[in-house]
Amino acid sequence: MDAAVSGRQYSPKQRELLGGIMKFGVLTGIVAAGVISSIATSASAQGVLNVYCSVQVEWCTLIANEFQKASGVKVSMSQKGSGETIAQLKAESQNPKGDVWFGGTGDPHLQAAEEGLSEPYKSPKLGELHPWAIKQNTDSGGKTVGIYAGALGYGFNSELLAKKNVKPPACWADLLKPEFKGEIQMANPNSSGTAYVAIATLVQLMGEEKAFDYLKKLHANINSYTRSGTAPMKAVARGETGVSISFIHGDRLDEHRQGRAQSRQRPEILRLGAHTGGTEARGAGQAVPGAIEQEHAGAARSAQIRRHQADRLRPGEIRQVGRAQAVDRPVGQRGRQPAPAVSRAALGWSVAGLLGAACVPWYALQDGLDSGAWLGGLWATEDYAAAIAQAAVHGKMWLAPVVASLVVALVVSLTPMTRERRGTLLMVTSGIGLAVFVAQALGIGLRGWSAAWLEALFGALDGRQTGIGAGGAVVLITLLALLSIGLALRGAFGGDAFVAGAMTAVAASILLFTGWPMLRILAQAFQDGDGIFTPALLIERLAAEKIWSLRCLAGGGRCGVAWNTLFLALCCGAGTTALGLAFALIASRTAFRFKRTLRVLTVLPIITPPFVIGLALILLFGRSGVVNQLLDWAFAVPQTRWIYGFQGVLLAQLFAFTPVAFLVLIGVVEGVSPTLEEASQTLRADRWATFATVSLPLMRPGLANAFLVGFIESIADFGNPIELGGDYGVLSTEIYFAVVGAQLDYGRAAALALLLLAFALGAFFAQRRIVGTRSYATISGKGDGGLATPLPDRARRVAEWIALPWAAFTLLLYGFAFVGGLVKVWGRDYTPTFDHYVKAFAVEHTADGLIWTGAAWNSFWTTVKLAAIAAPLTAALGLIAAWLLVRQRFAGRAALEFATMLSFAVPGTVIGVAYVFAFNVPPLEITGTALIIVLCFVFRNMPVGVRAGMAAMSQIDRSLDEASATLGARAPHTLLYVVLPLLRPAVVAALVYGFVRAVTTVSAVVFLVTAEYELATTYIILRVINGDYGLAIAYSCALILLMLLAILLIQLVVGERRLGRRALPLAAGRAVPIPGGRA
Amino acid sequence: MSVEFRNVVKRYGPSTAVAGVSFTVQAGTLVTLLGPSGCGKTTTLRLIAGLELPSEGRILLAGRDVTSLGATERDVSMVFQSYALFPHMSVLENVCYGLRRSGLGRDAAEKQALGALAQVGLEGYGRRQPSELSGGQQQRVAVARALVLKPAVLLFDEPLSNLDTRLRRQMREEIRELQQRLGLTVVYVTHDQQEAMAVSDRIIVMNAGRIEQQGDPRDLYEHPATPFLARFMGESNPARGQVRRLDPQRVRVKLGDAEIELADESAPDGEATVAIRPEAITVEAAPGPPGALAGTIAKASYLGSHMEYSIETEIGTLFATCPRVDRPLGRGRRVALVVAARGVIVVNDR
Repeated sequence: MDAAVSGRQYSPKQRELLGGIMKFGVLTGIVAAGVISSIATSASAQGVLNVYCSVQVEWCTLIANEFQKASGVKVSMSQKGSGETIAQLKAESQNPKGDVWFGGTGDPHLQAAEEGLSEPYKSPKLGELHPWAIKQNTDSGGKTVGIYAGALGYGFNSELLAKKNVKPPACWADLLKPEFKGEIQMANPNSSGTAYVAIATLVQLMGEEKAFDYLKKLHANINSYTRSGTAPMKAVARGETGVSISFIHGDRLDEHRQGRAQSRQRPEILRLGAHTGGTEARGAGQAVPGAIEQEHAGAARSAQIRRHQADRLRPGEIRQVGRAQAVDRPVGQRGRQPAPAVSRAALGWSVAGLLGAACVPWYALQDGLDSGAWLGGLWATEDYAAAIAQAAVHGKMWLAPVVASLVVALVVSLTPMTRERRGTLLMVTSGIGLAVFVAQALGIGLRGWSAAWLEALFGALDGRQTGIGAGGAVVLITLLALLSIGLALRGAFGGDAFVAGAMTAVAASILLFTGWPMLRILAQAFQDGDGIFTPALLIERLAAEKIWSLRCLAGGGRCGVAWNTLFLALCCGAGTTALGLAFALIASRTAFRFKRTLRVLTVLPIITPPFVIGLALILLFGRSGVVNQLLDWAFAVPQTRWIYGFQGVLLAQLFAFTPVAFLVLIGVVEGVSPTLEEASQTLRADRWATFATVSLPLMRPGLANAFLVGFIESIADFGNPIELGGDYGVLSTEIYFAVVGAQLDYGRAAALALLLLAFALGAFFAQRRIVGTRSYATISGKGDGGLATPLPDRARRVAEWIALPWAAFTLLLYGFAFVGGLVKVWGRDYTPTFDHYVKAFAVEHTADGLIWTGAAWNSFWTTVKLAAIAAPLTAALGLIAAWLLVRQRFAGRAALEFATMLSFAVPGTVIGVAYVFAFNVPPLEITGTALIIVLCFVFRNMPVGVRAGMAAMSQIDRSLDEASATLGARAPHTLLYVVLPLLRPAVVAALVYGFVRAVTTVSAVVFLVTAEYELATTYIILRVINGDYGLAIAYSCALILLMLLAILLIQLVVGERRLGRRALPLAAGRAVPIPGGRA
Repeated sequence: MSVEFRNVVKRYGPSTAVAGVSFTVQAGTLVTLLGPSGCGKTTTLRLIAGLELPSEGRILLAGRDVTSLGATERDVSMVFQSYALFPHMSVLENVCYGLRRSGLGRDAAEKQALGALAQVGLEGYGRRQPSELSGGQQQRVAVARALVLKPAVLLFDEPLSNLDTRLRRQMREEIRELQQRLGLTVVYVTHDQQEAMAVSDRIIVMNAGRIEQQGDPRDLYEHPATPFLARFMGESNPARGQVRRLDPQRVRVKLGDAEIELADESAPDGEATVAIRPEAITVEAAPGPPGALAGTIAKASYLGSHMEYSIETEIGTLFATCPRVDRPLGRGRRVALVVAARGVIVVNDR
């Protein structure tokens, strides 16, 4: 069927291309797509074929549709780059989720074959293919086959070259001419398969020695070795570089049509490496597993269970021990209660847990809970059996202690005894139950016991292990609840079961959804390729010259990525702090008229999808950008590529992160007590002296905080360095290419991630050491009746000189971005058009009602839905964690605080891979579901809620909580009626950030999205990769609008109630959230 | 309802806030925890409230062990030093809060809350925000909010420290009056000895996490057991003197030239610390009667109702108050000090 695919469905252009290549006689690198080992489950008529597609989207869709028509098998296709696909395959290798990998650069397919990530398949039509395609199949041991070949050549921008009066290159040798100095771009073979093919091609054309000699000479003319293979051609199309070396087929041709690039194939010299992948559906229709659909059903089911459990967790049930109801009664008789003979909360939970153990299937079901098929097989059918039956009938005796612990808890809650004794017993029994639960969850891997001695002890397990299902979840939650009740009965957490429950819930969920994945990925830093623990490897990985080299200081050569990262982060921290301070001073201490506009401006970058700023910067400052063209036209200043590299990244980061610094600083600036400034003035200090010696020093902790945020944002930032970095590598891009590039080295990625984490922690502790936890800026609401001193003229002028041009610049940038969605081709053809919006968001009105025909609707609604689910969860979890951290004293407080921040200082790519690692195999198997995306959003963005909540909560007098408690309000009531109303600004901030960051996250979710759950940002990135900037910009503008609406809605709903007539000391904007690195 | 502490210890990490405290508060009495700041009195109060749970020991309310119960589950209300009125609720809502939380309907709660407001003299203030009230009024709202729940034990944490002197006297009288009228069991924390003596049935003096001495106000004032107490309970001049026992009930104390006979059942013979109350010293022009202590006035202040003198003597500088303001003695005057026996206390040295 390969032949059918490759022959029949090719567009004329592609056929022509294929023909052309055949005519040249292709020498190398004809590559194909591999077959991904499919999951061994029974074929089902409704099975879905899961395809990863690494060619342009039009082609992917065409193939998928045609295959669907011909075979009747439903295809679920998700488009990802080759590098990302192989990274995903590797992360999923224990429990593969894909069936077919179609297209993309050839080498990763061969690599996948070599690493055993794909499995062989012999197509009956293999013989009908071209010889090169068959050779590909033979070379890979039958695991991949060629389906099309692409030519590798060079492209050039005719306008750019014409302007420089340079004749277009006619052959490879021309590229060495001095007039091409600084004009040629190619990809870096360290990270790009394309570059690897390019070198291999040259070697085959010229012979090894001559080829490398050629490359050495070529080096003098190269302006940048890009990370991605397609980047050089895009740069040519945008006029950023004169010449590119890259593949010149398929999407690259689109690039040419859209831009000004032309490509040359010189048959006589240009013997091209060719390549790119083909497909192979294993047994096409017949062997398609039904597993995928079940996966999704499973996810929905477990979400349901979670909800159900959450209902149960309502405090009323836990704490029946509250005070008596009657209020009008004689003094001294209120609330007297005998020591309860029965603990109703513990009883309720034990019964619930036992019901779960008796009547709910322990394991995740293939066909979902809602089918009801399990009802009949709870005892006899192994797949459907609940815990008790599993232990009694199906030989899973390790579940017996778990069930037994629930029975003991039941007995304990029914037997009269003292509070402490009951607490101790509950704690011990649920602790043992939990320990056994965790041990069996970790002890059994996908294919049996994870250690040999376990197998010896319990006997071999047959069949594939499924993940924990509804029954397991019920039992786990019950055990955690019983543990909390036990702790509370013993007097921990103020004897409050709600607090204890909140504590266990927060700790357990952070452990499970942040700690566990991070541990899984970071542990790889100490492992070699086979997973053997080798600590020395970490040192080896981190000692590399590439990381620590200082050659740039001595002149010539590049500095290590670690130094680059640090330097960039220091500049970014200092720059955002200075800009943020200037804005904050203008907004709060001057009579500036457009303060509101200023505030809006500072919010804009936060709600901008990644890459928009970078792209706008390129169009403004790039070599062919407006500014350079203007300079060229007016002053004949030659157009340069200065934007690429350190300067560009810094500029983009300053744009992106200044708003956060502003938000941190505005609270601090407003918080400086006017009384102190007035005191200074009465002590004969003039306004300038007051500002310099009193106000500014008082802001020091805030400045340090803003700096820290800028620093951490910068080191975790990925989108800007990848777009504008050029040769300037930083740790986050290095990690990305260790994961998705040709290196595919998780160990190295983990080691670098550890280094990144160390930087973040170092900054964190340095900041703590320098300023301590002191905050001079206190908002007491008492005795601060004075007026804030206006900024002295000198300081005001400086602030205005910094801030106002910057603000104008921001406006310009966004104006540009907005226009980009309304013109035909951004930066090229400025004919006004609504085409992009129509393409993305068309709605047709038919007899059947509205039909959402726009290309973006699917991902748009998914994004809205998932972000809307994630935002309240993020806010709730974050605020509860903050409440615990601020208001409760408990051992391990610092550890919990650190754990909540863990996912914040790590680039999204690491988180994404970590999630696939941790949740693709039992005990928790949730990849491919919407649940995992939501969880990723929640736990990645939670630090924002925690920070905002902690900042706001520490400004609320603790005695308010205590007063509420002594007035008989239980902890949840206190939270609801006293804390939350006073925290409203923080609630708004947490909700807004939770939503906005869920909408704008890219790198963390690239590995988690599926065809069914595609997100707006991943869709946009694909459009960018395909060079469809207009659509991407239009979509981004729509997202900005969506987020603005969401912010307004949240303000309206949450901020509606008024705080009486008194203006509270905690006015809006005080809560200081710290969003994590974007992209 | 009584409160009982049995060997209660509260530790925060390495530091001990309350180091083994035992006492009983009888139902219907007002007991004050008195001591300097950092002595553990507020922690003790919070332990009664259930805002802190003890590290060791037992706490009983009305004979029932509540050691591990949190604040919500104890029938105890508290008036905070900062009043802790909820700023986002009106006065009425504040007072209703506890009633609503115990499950009372809105109307019934408001009715009772209005009653409580009337009890503290704040009729008609229900619709106001706390920030619109004066300090004294806020204080009353806090009391009403605690009272309305008819708690078994009512706790006051330095309730008057944010008020001016005049209001302080008025409020403490009102609190005492309310307590006696309603027969409340009250535990009251203050560092002001006068306030403690004015309101208390019984005073527990704490120092460094321990109970220094407990008893009724007069007992504590007249028979402080330690130098700390003598210093802390009212003003006193510490001095060294020679004690000689006359009989089981009486001793003679020699202070420089002066000799004073006083009632004492325990002091051993020999040198001892003696506390002399300022109001027990009568200042007369020299030479004065025999047995008087000679001295020179170093400082004299006129305070309207009385005079304050610092007088240099052979046993040190003594501070004395003198109700006679019509004939003030100037600085440098030679004087004779007559010390009344009721103002001299032999203190057990530790």
